[in-house]
Order: sequence, then structure tokens, then C-alpha cells
Amino acid sequence: MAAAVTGLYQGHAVGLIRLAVVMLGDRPAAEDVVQEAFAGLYRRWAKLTDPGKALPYLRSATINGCRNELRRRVRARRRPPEPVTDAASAEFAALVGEEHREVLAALRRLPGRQREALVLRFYLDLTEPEIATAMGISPGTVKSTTARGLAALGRLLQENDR
Amino acid sequence: MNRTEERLRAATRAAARTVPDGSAPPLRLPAGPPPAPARYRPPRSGWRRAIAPLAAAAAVTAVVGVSVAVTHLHGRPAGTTAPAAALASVPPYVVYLEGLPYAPNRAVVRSSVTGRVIAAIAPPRPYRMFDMVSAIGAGDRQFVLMAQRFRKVTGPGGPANQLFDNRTPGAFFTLTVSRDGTSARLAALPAGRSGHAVRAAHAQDVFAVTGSPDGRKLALGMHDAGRSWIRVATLASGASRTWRWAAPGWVGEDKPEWQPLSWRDDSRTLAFQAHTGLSGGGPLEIGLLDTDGPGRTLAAARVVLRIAGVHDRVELMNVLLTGDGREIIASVQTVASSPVAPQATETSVRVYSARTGRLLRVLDRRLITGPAVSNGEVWGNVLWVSRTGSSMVLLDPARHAAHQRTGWPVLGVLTGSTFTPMPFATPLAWEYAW
Repeated sequence: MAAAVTGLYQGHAVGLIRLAVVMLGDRPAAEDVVQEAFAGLYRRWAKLTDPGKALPYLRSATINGCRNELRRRVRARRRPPEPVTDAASAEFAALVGEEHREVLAALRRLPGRQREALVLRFYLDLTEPEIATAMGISPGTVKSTTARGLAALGRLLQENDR
Repeated sequence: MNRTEERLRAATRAAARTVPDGSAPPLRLPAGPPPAPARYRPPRSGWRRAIAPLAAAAAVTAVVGVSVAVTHLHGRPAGTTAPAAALASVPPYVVYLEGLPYAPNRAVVRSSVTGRVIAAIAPPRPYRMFDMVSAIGAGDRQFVLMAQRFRKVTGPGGPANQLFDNRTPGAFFTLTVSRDGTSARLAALPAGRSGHAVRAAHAQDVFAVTGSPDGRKLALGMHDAGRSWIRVATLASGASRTWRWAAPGWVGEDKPEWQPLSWRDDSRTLAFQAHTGLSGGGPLEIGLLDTDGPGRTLAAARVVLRIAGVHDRVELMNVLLTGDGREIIASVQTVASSPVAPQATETSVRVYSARTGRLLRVLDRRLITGPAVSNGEVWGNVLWVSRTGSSMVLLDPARHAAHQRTGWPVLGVLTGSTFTPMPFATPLAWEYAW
């Protein structure tokens, strides 16, 4: 069981960390989210009837972990800043480059569901049914959420360009 | 691909490149064998006592996969025996859509009380998919469904778009259960009755369909190119009126099991939801629109409720107006501030006054911990509410032990603090109507 989960980790951990980094903007938090996703898979391994469902599970767990982390940050804003996270974010920003920073900042201003749909669509290139499965939402929601997210992102970027 | 999409694609890839190949840290798995699945514990009353088992659970990190720890924060534990009265308080027939996303599907008619399947009907060709379903009329036997073609189309946009015909207008059908409740019949909604408003709509542009209690009107929530509006068609004449949303944001919602529009019994007052603000991240507003009154924009509606913090700390699911027009029922998820369960989500059903917007009571408060992997967004979603709000149907995957085995959502009737599971469940259902 541990070997199977470790094998999956070796194959998919980097990809999932990249997904979480796009969502969160800092690597340590992204690694924590992915570790927790794999730990969750390990705990429920005995209930996993189809090994082919492991990756969709991990993807959903990573997305939900990112959602929880972002909610935690909203709550943490009422408290003193967390220096480790800030430093990690600054390092990330430097690595990404000026031209993309504005887009990522605008992406993070979107409501969570729109942000997730856009990342799954335009970063992972998932199909709409796959996005529906990953986000746990109905299929019709994916299309409208993506369209609204794109429209809002465009407006935010135009605002910044003025 | 437009400029925004290009920039988004490039930026997300640049962010991903900050994680080089082979740079993942070693995997840290919990020591020892995986713990046994967490078992549902009958809840205790009161917040402090309620979170006590969670503290123990957190200490051993015994949250298992898609299963979650659920506890009630107030009130008696939800019952699991099925008082016939609770099921009988719901209209006798439910229609839901069953099938995989973006695949041919069918409408299934069941008895709410016995769960018996009365009919399973696929859309007539050339239509292949039903997209929306709503009850219409007060007889509890008639429904309206929107269908669309499903055919392979070519062009850019990825495999999903290539499989999805998003240009051909949809069509509306009525589904009527026989008087003896043994069969159901599908019939096209005559175009002459429905008028241009109904004929021209494509399913992609329609986010809500709701039939009026008198059976004479059909309300459509529609959006296109960043604009949104509500259209009400009078079926007998084919006439329609449109109210546009003219402020930042949009009308409708991005929720599973949509119910963004609901009628009062007078078939005149229509409740709608609006996400305000530049990206829809502002307060969620609930407005009451007089569909016989003047006005061409939704500014004519009376805003009775504003809920802040949507998307950040609060997730709203369905928000329904009771038939008597006195209450607004909202299913709500909030980030809980429990010190022992930092990732907890609290779900509840909030009842507001439709006249003043004041919060009247909170029902079915529960604390859910653990990763919200399995359709977490539909926990506690209210799908139907009785005329006075005394009875409602919830869709609740986490409610029942059966879910932890099957992963199937559980439907049930909430009356006071008692939850009565309905006698059926299905994993591929979406869009329910009573």
C-alpha cells in the first residue's frame, strides 16, 4: 500500500505541486497541500476500488487543500502576518517574472470557484467534464464559471493597464 | 484564443516552471497502518460538547478520505427512521436528470414516498440531452424540461467543445405524470405557446428554468457575453418580458443543483440571486421582482437581503423563496472558527424574513471536518421548500453512513430538526425538481 502511494507520488507529485503553486503562489504551502493529499489517499487506500481513480482523487484533494489554505489566509489577515509565507511569496514572485505577476495577482482576486476553473482549464488543459469532476460541481456550472472568470480577469487586467 | 486566455496560459505555465522536475520533497506518510474509517457519531448538543469528539479525532488525524466527520452543533440528532408524514409533506413525484456529464441522459420520474421509478425518458431525437428541469403548475404532476442536441462538432476549443453542440437552440418539453401515478408522458411545449423567448434560447445561455405555480409562465435566467437577464414568457400568448441586470456582477449563481430563481405562490413575484461587484465577489443580493410591475431592468426589483463574504468565508448554495412569500431559505457553508478543527466547514440552513431580511432562525447546523473531496459543495443544499418553509428537501452526501460506502448523495426531508432520508439514491443524478 505504502509502495503504491509512493509510486504515485514519484509520478505525480511535481505536477500537483505545480498546480498548487499556481493556485497559492508559494511553494512551501503548495508542498504541504500535496503532502496532505497523498496522506489522505494513503488513509483511504483500502476503499479505493479502482486505482485509476487515484489521480482524480489527488487532483480534487489538492484543489480542496488550496481552497482551505486560501480560506485560512483570509482568516489570518486579522492576525499579524506570517513571515515565512510572505518570504516564500516574494521568492515566488521574483522567479515568475514581472510580465506574469500581474496576471497571477489578478487571478487570485477572483472568487475561488472561478480561479479554480480557470487554472484547471488553462493550465492543466482539462476538459469540462474533467473539471466538473475535479471541482465537484455540475457540468453546466463549469462553462458559466469559466466564462465569467475569464470576463472578470480581462476586466481586472484592463483596470491595471490603465 | 483571446489575449486574456493567452496571458493566463503563459502566466500559469511560468508559475509552474518555478517547480523544477525532480524537486518534490520526500513523501511523509503517517506511521503505522492506515486508521480504521471514522465512524459517524451521534451528535451532542452545544458547541463545546459537539467539538469534543473532533478534538479527539484531530489528535489522531483520523479523517478518512472522502468520508468526513460530521456533527450537529445544535438540536437533536437527525433521525434516520422515516416517518411517513415527512415524506408525505413533499410533492408526490420527483424528476431528476440522470447521466454522465456531457453525455446523453434521461429524465427519471420517481415516487417521493416509495422511491419507485415511474418512468425514465430520454429526449426525443434530434435532442439527446436534458439540461434543466422544473416543476410547473400547482398540480404536482407536471414538469418542464429543456433539451438540446448532442452531436459531434469540429473546431477549436478542446475535446469537450468538439463534443458539445453549443449553437443549436434548445427545445422545451412538458412531462406529465398520469393521474394514477403509474406512467409519465413527454410532449413538446408548443412553440406557438412558448414564443420567441423560449425558442431562441440555447441551453448554454440558460442558467435557470422555473415554471410558475399557476402553470402559465416560464421564467428563464439567461446570460451571454458577460451580460445576464431574466425573461418571463407567458405560455398562452407567447409574449415575454425581459429584465436586464445593469450593475456590475451578474444574475444567477455558479452552484451545483441550480435553483437561482423561485416563484411565490401568486405566480407574480419572482425571487432571484445576484452576485454583485466587478468579478461577482461582492455581496450576494436576493431580489424580489414583480413580474407584472413596470421596469426593464432588475433595478426595478426590491432587494430584501444582502449577504457579504460570499466566496471568501461564505458559500451560498440554493436560496429559495417560500410559496407564501414570507421567508427566504438559504443553504450556507461558512469557514468555522473552531480552534481544534482549523479546516472545518459549518453548514446550516438559514431562514430569513422576506420582508425585512432579518435572520429568523438557523436549522441543521453541522460541523464538517476533513477534505471536502466528494461534492463538498452540495452539502446541505436545499432543493425544495414547502409553502410555509416547515419542510424542505436537502441533498446531503455526508449525512448518512450509506454515503461513506457508496459515495452516493443522500436526499432527505428536513422537518424541524429531523432529517428523514428519502427511499432512493443515485450517483449520476443532477438537477432535481418537485
